[in-house]
Amino acid sequence: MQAVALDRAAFDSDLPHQPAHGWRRLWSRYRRQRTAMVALVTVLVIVLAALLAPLISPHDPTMVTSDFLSPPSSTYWLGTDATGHDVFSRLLVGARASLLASLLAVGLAASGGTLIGLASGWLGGFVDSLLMRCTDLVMAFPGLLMAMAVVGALGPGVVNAMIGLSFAFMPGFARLVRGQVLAVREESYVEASRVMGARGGWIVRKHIVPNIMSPLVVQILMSLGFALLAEGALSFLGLSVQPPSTSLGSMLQDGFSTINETARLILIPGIVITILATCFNAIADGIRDALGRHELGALMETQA
Amino acid sequence: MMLRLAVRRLLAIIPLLLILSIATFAVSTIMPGDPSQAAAGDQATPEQLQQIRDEMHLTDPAPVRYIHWLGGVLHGDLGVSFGSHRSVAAEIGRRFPVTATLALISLLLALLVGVPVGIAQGIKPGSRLDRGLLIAVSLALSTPGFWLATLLVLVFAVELQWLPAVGYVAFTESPVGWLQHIILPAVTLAVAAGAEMARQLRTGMVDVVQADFVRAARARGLSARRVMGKHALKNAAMPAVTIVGLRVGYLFAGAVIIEQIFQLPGLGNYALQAIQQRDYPALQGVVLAVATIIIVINLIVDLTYAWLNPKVRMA
Amino acid sequence: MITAAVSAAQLGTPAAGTAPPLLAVSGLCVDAVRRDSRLPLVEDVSLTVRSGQMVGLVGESGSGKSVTAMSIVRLLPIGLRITGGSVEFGGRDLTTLDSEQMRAVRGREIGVIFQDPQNSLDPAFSVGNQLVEAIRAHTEMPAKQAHARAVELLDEVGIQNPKQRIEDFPHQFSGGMAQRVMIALAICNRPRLLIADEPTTALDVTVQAQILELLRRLQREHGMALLLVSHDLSVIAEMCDQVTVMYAGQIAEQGSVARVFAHPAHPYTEALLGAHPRGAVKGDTLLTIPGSVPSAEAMPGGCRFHPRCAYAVETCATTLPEIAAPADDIVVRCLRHAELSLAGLREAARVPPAPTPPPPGDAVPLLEVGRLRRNYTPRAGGRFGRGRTVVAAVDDVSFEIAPGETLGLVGESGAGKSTVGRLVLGLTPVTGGTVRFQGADLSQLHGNALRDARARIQVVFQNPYASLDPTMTVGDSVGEPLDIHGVGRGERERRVDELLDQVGLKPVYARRYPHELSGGQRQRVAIARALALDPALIVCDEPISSLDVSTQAQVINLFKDIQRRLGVAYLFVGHDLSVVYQISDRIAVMYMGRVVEIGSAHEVYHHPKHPYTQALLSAVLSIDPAHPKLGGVVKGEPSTHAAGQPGCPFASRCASATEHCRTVTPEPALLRDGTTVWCHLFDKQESVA
Repeated sequence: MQAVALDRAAFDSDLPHQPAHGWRRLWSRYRRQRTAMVALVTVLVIVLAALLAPLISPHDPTMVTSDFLSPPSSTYWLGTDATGHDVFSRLLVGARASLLASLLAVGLAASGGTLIGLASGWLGGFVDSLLMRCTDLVMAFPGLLMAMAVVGALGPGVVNAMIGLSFAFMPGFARLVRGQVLAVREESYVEASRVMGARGGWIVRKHIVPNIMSPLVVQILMSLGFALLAEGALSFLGLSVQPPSTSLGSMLQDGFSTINETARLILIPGIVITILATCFNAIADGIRDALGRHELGALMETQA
Repeated sequence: MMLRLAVRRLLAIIPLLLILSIATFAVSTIMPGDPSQAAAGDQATPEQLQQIRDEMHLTDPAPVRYIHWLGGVLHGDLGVSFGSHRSVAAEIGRRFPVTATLALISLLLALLVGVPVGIAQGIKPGSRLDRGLLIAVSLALSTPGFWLATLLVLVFAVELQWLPAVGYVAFTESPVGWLQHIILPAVTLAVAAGAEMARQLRTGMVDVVQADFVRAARARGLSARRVMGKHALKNAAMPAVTIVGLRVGYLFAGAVIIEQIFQLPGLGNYALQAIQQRDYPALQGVVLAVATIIIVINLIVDLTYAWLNPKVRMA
Repeated sequence: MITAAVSAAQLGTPAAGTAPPLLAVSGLCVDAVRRDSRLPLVEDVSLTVRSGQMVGLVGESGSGKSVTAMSIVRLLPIGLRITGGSVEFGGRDLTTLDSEQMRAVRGREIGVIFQDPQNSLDPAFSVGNQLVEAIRAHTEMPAKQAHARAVELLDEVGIQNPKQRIEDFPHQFSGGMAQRVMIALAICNRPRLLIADEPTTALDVTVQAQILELLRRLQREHGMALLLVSHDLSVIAEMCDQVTVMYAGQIAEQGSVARVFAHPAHPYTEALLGAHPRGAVKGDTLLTIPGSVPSAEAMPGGCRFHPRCAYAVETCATTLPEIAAPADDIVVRCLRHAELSLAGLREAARVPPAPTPPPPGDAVPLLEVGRLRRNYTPRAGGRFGRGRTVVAAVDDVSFEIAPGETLGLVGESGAGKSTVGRLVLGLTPVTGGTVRFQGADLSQLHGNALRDARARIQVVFQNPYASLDPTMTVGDSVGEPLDIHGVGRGERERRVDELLDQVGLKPVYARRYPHELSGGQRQRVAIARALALDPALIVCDEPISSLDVSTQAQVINLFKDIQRRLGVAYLFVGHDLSVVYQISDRIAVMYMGRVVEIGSAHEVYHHPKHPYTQALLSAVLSIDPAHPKLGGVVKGEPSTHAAGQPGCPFASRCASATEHCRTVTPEPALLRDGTTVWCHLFDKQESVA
């Protein structure tokens, strides 16, 4: 009894001074990384501009003027294209279309993949082997070809293309979630929970889902970067966003046809895609580092 | 040991190929519209359509048609293209070398650049060199291939006029012309592939360099070159090999777009035509061919991995 | 280099105090260098090793002992840097050598072995390849000759069939065998100093004894000096002449092992000796060291040990003591060393009188395990499963636990002791046999009845880092069992506070997350959670194995205290017989899935019957340096025992085994002192049954 009381007195004095856990702690660690912060701000600015496109775009993006291929000016901030569209206004609309399309593909992939992964990891056995065989097969197949095959079957269009693309991303999510589920379900705290009498649903809800959230977010951000590139490629080939709508990829395609006249029309949308993709990856890396436990503490533990 | 493993893995891909063939065949059944219409064109008379339907066994139930189709595939008959009315198999045979050489050259380029970069980074993570290369690698990974292609055309064809912008010359016709036409597409594809390789190898090296056995090897007084070149590299190569294998598949996929931009008469170009013309025998043929290639590559990767890793080899 | 080698070779006997030492570390400082800060990990450490001497370096995690050892050969991980001091070896300062000169020292003059032998061998190359490489790194020996030498070396370190085994890859060796290979690699060029960094921590006790014996033999035969780094005082007591005790990156105390263990000069040494379970008399409350080892980020000011020191005065908190050498054999860093008179080892050898056993069971046993069996199929057999054998993880195990009683379950890795715990908990399905709890056969219960019965058997796991969900607060973790069983909100809050209080934690801890707690604190939380449902039985699966020595004693005391207050019974699974002995009323010893002996803790610990129990006990090292050294170490390592295979599983390693032992499975024999033993040696003894 006395030993316990003594110990407590000593414990209170050596409480480490650390901020709270969870998203707040993650943020405080993320904030310290300069590259990741720059990436985050950049993405936020572009997303905001794209969302507010109708309010802030100086011209109607579908408006056709008589100024063909005019260079940047105070009227046309980024000049006009071969049809006489204002490039800046089109860029805003195009970025929005590209972002929304990527979001659709990744959203579908993440929700489908998470369900598959949960089922596979939690149920195990026959369901697991069947689902994993299928994801193996899909994974062996390059994403762009998958999207093209679906577009080939269902016809061109942004929704079809993104459904195809989501199939390509799904196995990645499924495997990630399955791996996490398998790792988490072996953890002592899940076994302790089972000993307490918790049922499957409780464990999934209380332990598994919270613990797979952070790797899932990282995966979503990385996939967004890739989806943006893939959507660009599909639009460039004329398989995704169809005219009169526009996306960054289709702007590039338009620009390519006038490559002999001006480089501006391929540079602008290309740079925007590259910046966005780089930033999504940088944010994902930043979160991963913020989550990482390879800090000094871990080092010292292995040292002892 | 290795032989038994190889046979086992070979047997394991048979069901995979079977599932693949079903999936490919299914594309034709879910495709909207009447295939006979697509085959015959818009001006076809009802009689012509009926005749085509009979020829193609379109009235049979799907499983019967599948068996029929599979029988053809096994004999090397992939059907006749709706667009060109030529044998799909022959067309694929003609176009395959273009895509394959493109993929192979870019793979070589990627290895040539990616491997040294990854090792240089992995040996001293956190150094100035490493941080500089990290930025380059992540930029390379985020640059869309099709955009990079247009930039290369812009610089080397439009501005400098050193190389032709688009088109293709067969190697047998003019080796120099072939090289001139293939170099830009190959570089385009190699950039992302090389960056991915560098990144994987760096991660592998960083993990391995901190591993206990590397410290133990240094404790035995082995030279840094030996520790890195023998012990670290072989262990870091294991995960990297897997990625290289996957990359070959991605090179084929990337080739689809790149071929379109550079107007190379490869499989990708064929696939895109097939999609635009709703030419499903051609599409099925390409998908089947590419997927088979990828599965075979994965098999090779698996075996290489086993060869590198005694734990797998002896299992 | 050659002159240095000669001068060191001339040193002669280790006792020659006047000759320059082989190794002299002085004023060593190592920092963790970050971009914007530096953390001192090792500060002002000096120690010497003379030729042929065995020197120990002991401390808990974070003490800087491994960093010190690795600094000598300059093998620090990325980010750590030597920032001061010198390392004189054979007349040269190793810290000033260039990398090529350093390379020539490593493996040639100083050999190193590590804690985790299997990870310290390159998995991608055969051990022969690595041995030949190590030999040829320092000599011009032709490959063929080096190969022959490698075979010799493997034979020397006690590997059977060295000619065949040299072709094998590291994953084909057991932990003990891999450590032998590591030793062969380290001594292949006959170094003058061998640094062993926790060489036996990852190994089972009987294997540990073999490795220590091997090290001692090699040291004697080659006149090699040994610097032995360990957290375990008993290993130091067994092996070393001199010892350096480190705490929080600094030297606490230095001296001969005999003096330090008998008359410690630093309160930390005294506390460590007092907290060691092998130094305690059963039934006493273990002496504890309050709190836990500070981290490098939160080092206390003044004396590093003062927050935990029983003798601390005000100045201790403000003044960092200097290193003092008040007498011939004493180096100490303590302000009060002159005025304190500290107790050394308590009389460990004293055998306490056998406790009077409680009046035999008119009460119904709480838990009855009958002929329990669990088979499994090793996965290594390949995809098509040819040549797979079914192995019995648990084979025909029976025991009972009375209410409020503690049954200790001991064995080495692979003995199946943890599996028994999991079978009782229902975490692993049983292959055969019964588990009866409070009179009810658990396999006959279903639905809510099973859930209610199971709720009264709870668990505390080994790894305190894995046993709490990192996304949940301590309060939510402790409250989880209450939530699962639908306890109302207000009642839950009250109960969580009460439970935390029972394990000695204040209510504020309810809002903290696991990463803010030390290992010992987490284990307290896990215990509080296990108590939430008022269990009658708690399965403790190696609950203190991952903790530092100073924290272990706290948790053992807590377990005892809770049992006294709440009357809960424990099934206490452990690998350290002396720890299990401290806490148990009765002990069951397991080997290869079977119980070989079960009896009162006193009888099993002081009068072991089964040859395996005897081997296990003789491998338990004493912390008394005056105690006779290890002798008669049991040979071999456990090999797999197929399910249903007849014979005694220990027969292959047993000195008194006969053909009969290999072919006939022994029946239990109940002896007069109440011990049951499964051994043919007792077949003819009259059984009380």
